[in-house]
Amino acid sequence: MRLLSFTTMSCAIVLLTTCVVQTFGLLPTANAATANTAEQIIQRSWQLYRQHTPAEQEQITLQTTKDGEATREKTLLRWTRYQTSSEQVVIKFDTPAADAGLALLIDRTDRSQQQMWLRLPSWVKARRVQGQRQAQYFAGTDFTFEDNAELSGKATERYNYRLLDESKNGWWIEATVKNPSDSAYGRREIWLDRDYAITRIDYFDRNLSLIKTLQNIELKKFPNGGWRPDLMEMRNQQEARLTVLKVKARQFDSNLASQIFSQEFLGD
Amino acid sequence: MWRWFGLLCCASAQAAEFDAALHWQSQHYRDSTRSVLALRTELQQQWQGWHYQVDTALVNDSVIAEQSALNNVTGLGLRRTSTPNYLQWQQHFLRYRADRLSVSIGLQQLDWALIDRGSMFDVWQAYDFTDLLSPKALAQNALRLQWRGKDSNAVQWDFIYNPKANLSKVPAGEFAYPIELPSEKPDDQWGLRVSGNWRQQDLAAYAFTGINASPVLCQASLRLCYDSLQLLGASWVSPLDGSALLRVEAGQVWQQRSDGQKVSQHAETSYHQYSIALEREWFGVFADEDQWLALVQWSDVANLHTSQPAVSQSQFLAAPPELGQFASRQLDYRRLFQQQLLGKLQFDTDGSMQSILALEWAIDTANHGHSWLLSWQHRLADQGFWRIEWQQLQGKSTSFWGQYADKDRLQLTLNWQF
Repeated sequence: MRLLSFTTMSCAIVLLTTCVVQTFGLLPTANAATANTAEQIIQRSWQLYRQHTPAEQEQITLQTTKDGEATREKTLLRWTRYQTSSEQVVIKFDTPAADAGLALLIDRTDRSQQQMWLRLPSWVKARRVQGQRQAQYFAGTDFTFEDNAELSGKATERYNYRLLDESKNGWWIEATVKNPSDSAYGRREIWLDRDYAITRIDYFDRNLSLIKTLQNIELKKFPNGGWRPDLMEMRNQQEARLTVLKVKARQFDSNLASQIFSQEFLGD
Repeated sequence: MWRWFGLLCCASAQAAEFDAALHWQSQHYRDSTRSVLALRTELQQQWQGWHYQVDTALVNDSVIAEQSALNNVTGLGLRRTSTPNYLQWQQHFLRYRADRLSVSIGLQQLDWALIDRGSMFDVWQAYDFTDLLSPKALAQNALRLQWRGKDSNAVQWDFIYNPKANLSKVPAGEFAYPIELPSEKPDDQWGLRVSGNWRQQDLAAYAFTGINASPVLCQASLRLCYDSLQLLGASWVSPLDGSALLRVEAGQVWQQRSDGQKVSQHAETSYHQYSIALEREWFGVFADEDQWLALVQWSDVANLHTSQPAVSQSQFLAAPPELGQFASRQLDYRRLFQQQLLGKLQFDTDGSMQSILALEWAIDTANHGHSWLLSWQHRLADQGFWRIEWQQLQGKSTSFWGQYADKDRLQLTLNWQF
């Protein structure tokens, strides 16, 4: 009886202490613990994505279909170079003829100060783009400038993550940006499989209405844990439009010239 | 458009590509018309780090055809012109791109300009002023070495040597000179640019010695002369708030007449010049996806005494002496006016580059002349575009634009790539 009372009292004291400590934020809460877990999952996913190669180049086909209109196809080349915790990306359109010369350089060497340069076919040279431009759709597709910057790596330090669900198939995670001016989206929901490969992302606007859904349909996985989507489908509910991005060829190359990742190269 | 991609099949990228485009332009002035038909081809061959490129244009220009025919009839005093159909080599170069070093040799476009128009660092490009209101940059035969550090914020070096400068072509048609003006022999040129990107700031320093590619008139010999020119300068590009960008160019220029004549009252003159450009974008002003771009640029130059630029001489070739002072204030059309306010307002209806409406202006505030250009470009399928432009020139008759006040024009352009 005395033992029971002591145990009960101890539990009550522990519970009370926990409540007080948690109330005043003196210990990490259960939610905070899951938040860390969610962030670690995302970090692990991109770590596996990036560790596969220091650089790569891809030949990509883009198909855009708007309800009631014919499908438009574009081809482009994409070069990506990974550094310790950053990356540089160059995109150059090849066809159709009217888009040839359209090019984008994304420099995330310092992710807190991401920089982009855009060259339109009618411009003599590349211009720096920033701010509101990042929320705009790029080249008539459903990928915004911001999406293009995050296709090869996420700046996890800019987001708060929350684990929404976990199952034998993987994780479902919510990402909200810490500083609203850093993103056009109010929220993202990210699905990952058990190999840490991202299979789906839902994008919500600042009113938390669903804008579009990205699905990585053909996922290629490598023995060291690396992963790449070979077929991506972005279904835009708000615009009633579908963009399908197909990687036709990919080459991992550790010797991509530094000259490629320059403003001058956009105009070549 | 034909392409043969061997891309990604082997250790390094390789590709061959051939593009062709048909370009038709029709210009309508108050009392004359001009049409230009050009077939442009572009051949690129890439293999590992090598890049070989040949760009040509086969051009038929009605104005040149008329002048050519006229010369055959009279043969006296009038400018001789090339044949009505002529082939232009626009670029022809070989480039090797290693990790950090890029070497290119041959006829290539060289462009250091930072701001859209009237850049003081646009020293490499000669211009084809055949169509005075739409000058086209000409490539130069050059050796170019570019070195870039591994990191994006590392210093970049760009060295160019041009053994024999390509010269500008003087106006034809509505703006033509009444007589033949032979050109002097060009000099060699070289330049060095050091640039870098630090904390979102683009900084660069420039050194150049060569010629001023904008021809001047040596009145004693009635030849087109090219002042020698040395330049030291610096530029800075900085993002301001969310969607604005600031560009600044400043530098010191030394200029001498190649024929030993005085530049204005001075055998040698030096002056400093600067340009400030502010650019801003807006999105979703009237509709969800519309895009606006506004650009305002102010340029000024202090202590300027230049030679008479040939491209603005058409009405003053035999100018009376009292206009001498005026003529010396006629500034370099290609690079600068004494004080000029440039601007551009561009509207993309849905952000997809499908349809673009633009208003551009150039105001010479010192001499009270201005040019206004209103254009609408619309994409045709995925292969080309058409554009309609209305250009109006106004101002005092003693200003650069004002002397062409009766040369307003309507221009139609059709460009088709295949």
